[in-house]
Amino acid sequence: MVNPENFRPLQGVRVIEFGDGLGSYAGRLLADSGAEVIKVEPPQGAASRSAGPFVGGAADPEQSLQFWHANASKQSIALDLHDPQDVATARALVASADVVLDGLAPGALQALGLGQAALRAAHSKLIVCAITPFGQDGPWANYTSSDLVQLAAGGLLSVCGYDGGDGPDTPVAPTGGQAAHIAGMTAMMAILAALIEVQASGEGQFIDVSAQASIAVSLEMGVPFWAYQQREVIRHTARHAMPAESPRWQHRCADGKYFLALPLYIDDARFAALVEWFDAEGLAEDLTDPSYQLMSGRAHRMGHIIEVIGRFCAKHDAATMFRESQARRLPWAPVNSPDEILADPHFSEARHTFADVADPATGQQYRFAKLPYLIGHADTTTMPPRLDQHGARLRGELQQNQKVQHAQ
Amino acid sequence: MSTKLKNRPLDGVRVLDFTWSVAGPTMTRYLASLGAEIIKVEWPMHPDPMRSAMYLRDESDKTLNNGSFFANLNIGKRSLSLNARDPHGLDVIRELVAKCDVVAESFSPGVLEKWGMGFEAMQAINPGIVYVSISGFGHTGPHRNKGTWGPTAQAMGGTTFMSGMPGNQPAGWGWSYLDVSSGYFGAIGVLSALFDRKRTGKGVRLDLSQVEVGVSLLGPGMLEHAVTGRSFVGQQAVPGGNRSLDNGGATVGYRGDSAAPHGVYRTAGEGANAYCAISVLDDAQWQRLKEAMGQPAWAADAALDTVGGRVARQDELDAHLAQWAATQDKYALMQQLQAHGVAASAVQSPHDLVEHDPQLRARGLHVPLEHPRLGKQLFESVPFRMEKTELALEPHWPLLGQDTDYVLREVLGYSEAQIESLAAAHITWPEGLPVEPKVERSLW
Repeated sequence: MVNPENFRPLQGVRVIEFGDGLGSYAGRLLADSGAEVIKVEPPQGAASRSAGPFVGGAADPEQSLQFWHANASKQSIALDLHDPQDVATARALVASADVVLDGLAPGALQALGLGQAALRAAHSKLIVCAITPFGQDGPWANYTSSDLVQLAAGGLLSVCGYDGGDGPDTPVAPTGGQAAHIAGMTAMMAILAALIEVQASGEGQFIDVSAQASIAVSLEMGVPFWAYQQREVIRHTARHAMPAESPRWQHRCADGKYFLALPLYIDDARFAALVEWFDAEGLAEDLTDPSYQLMSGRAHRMGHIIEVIGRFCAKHDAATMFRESQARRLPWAPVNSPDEILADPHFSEARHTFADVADPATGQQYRFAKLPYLIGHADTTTMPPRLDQHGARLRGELQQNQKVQHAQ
Repeated sequence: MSTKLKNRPLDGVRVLDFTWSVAGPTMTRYLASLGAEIIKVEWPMHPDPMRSAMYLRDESDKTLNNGSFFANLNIGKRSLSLNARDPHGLDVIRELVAKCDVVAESFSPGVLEKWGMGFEAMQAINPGIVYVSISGFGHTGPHRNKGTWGPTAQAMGGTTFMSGMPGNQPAGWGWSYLDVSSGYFGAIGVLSALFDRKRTGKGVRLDLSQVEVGVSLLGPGMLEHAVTGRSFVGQQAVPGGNRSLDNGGATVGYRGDSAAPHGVYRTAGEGANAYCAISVLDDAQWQRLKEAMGQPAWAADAALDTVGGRVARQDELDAHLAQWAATQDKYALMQQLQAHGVAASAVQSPHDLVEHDPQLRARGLHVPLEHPRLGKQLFESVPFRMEKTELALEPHWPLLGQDTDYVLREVLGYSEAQIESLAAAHITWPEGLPVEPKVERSLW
């Protein structure tokens, strides 16, 4: 580890999280960073608890891995926000907190008597961050959404899919819940910025995160190609969507695995090393011809060069391709599945990319991917909460606070 | 600064920025938007390659200062031109470390150490320094000297594998997601460290790996393998396409929902993006979808009223939905379904985002600003609003070497004579290089 000491930057910060889905991943980022994140769940539990896959296979609200991913390291209290007494408990919890994370629809908390303006009027240091599909206002603000719908509205779907012939010509949405990931990352930046600002001003504020806008600014070249060149990009398999057709980068290896052989930035020295490597196995074809040696002689023949690379991949396994290409400073890599990532000692041992998290109830250990900026520092992830696991303790704490207030 | 924006959280924070390409500059762009002063350090003989990546259409006079993609990515930053490989240049860097809060770089591992500027050395100069690096594999471990670009990191870290249509090769991602998201996680790390430092007085070392960002963003699929041992080997891709569940009810989308039908349907209209995405998230939405479609006979079967019944017959439902969608405009279909409370959206292209999307227009996401070399152009704004903090993009750009004088004079307090002697020794600008270096070939 780079820094064996703890890095829990948000230790001492309390967050109350309402809602499920879009807001949950931001809550996970806050929780792994050391904040005490209390997830308010309805009495029947958050909806994502019913989404599979489940540890052990059978549907079980305490064993949903989609819930685990977005809610590890948090606490849980079950509150019926249609019951005035539970709303009062929620309000008391907010009074003890630094941040409210609102993942409900625009206006939903307000309808429950927990609107951000009222909460902040009672508690001036409070930061309220709402994460919604489209933002708090605008013609689509009240549209209903899902991960797939967000990816479509934000432009992400339109740039992901296959070259003609590689697969169906439809847009293909990446998996994993990326709308919540992207909105969660931008929300985390805004919340941290507001926490820093409170350190100086002593006053909180309201943050309005649009998941759609977060996705729309995260597409790298897509929007610039339109804004600056008025050119529409077309989908390409496993590489940048571009305004023109281009040669494939993803090749199938002899062992059936796919391999990404990025052909950009192959300067003259790297190209010479590539040709020497291919030629040593009699597979360089015509690339040994001196006319390929300089970039100026190669640029217009990249399509052919890439075909030779593809034929070379087909005769080697992906692990060999990775080792030998990287030894020649070619930034190429196998298309890994989760299996191969977990088995690679670079991650599992040397970098400690994963944290082993023990369930104190059973002693069972579970392996979670650490957040990228916490790698190199002590593990912070804890088990996701069981429904209302922390309810009794939190209610007791609030009662204690009330008694102290009455006594004063 | 040309304008003074109010209540910006990072007012007074200064970042010494050696990053290049996309990941690091994305990180420092957000730090700039939040008020930090970003000093982008380059030597014009080896400029950030994104300076020459993408120009305006039909640009005939390409220089290192009028790249449009670069301008969007680096808005709000300052440019210091300096030869850090020269001992006197390195002295300047060392003095700047004392005056900065954050040092950011995206070199290969070991470059700063070679300069004698490892974390410990920088801490000796400035105990509160936050040092963030973004590299392919991180600065430790057996793969540390291997190289990646966005798409290779996506292959290596699993995000490519976890996207695709059944029976086909992985579809992957149509851009360098891990450049953008590594920039976001880098900014999150720096903001966390700055918050922490206010209380502890201590800086921190953040060693981000693009590949690990990918592993972390794999989400529940990675967790499923790590926790249950479910193997993905032997499959060409997660065989789910755009679905949440496969026909047997198993999770293939890891999207946090259990929706069916769930997909992307071709609509009327031309082009590659005449599609509408539809998610029927629960049984109530199914009833409302039937209403929206005018209660067609094929949807009347009561077996379809539960998600289990619909999942088992997704292929059949998709065929009917495709037929229904095929005659309608994608935006009209979206509005009609939304009016019935069904989750749906037109598949929007970047062109649509800029020209056709009333929501992003209402939110003011694409902002016209006057660039000194590009004239009035659109720039991508910050995707969140903060009630108190002004997040307007500052309309200045790091024209190469434009702020060298400012940095030496205002930040370091150098005298005229010191500045002139650095210039005379060609440490602040390469000998004989014109002020606006021409570019022969752009990347895109």
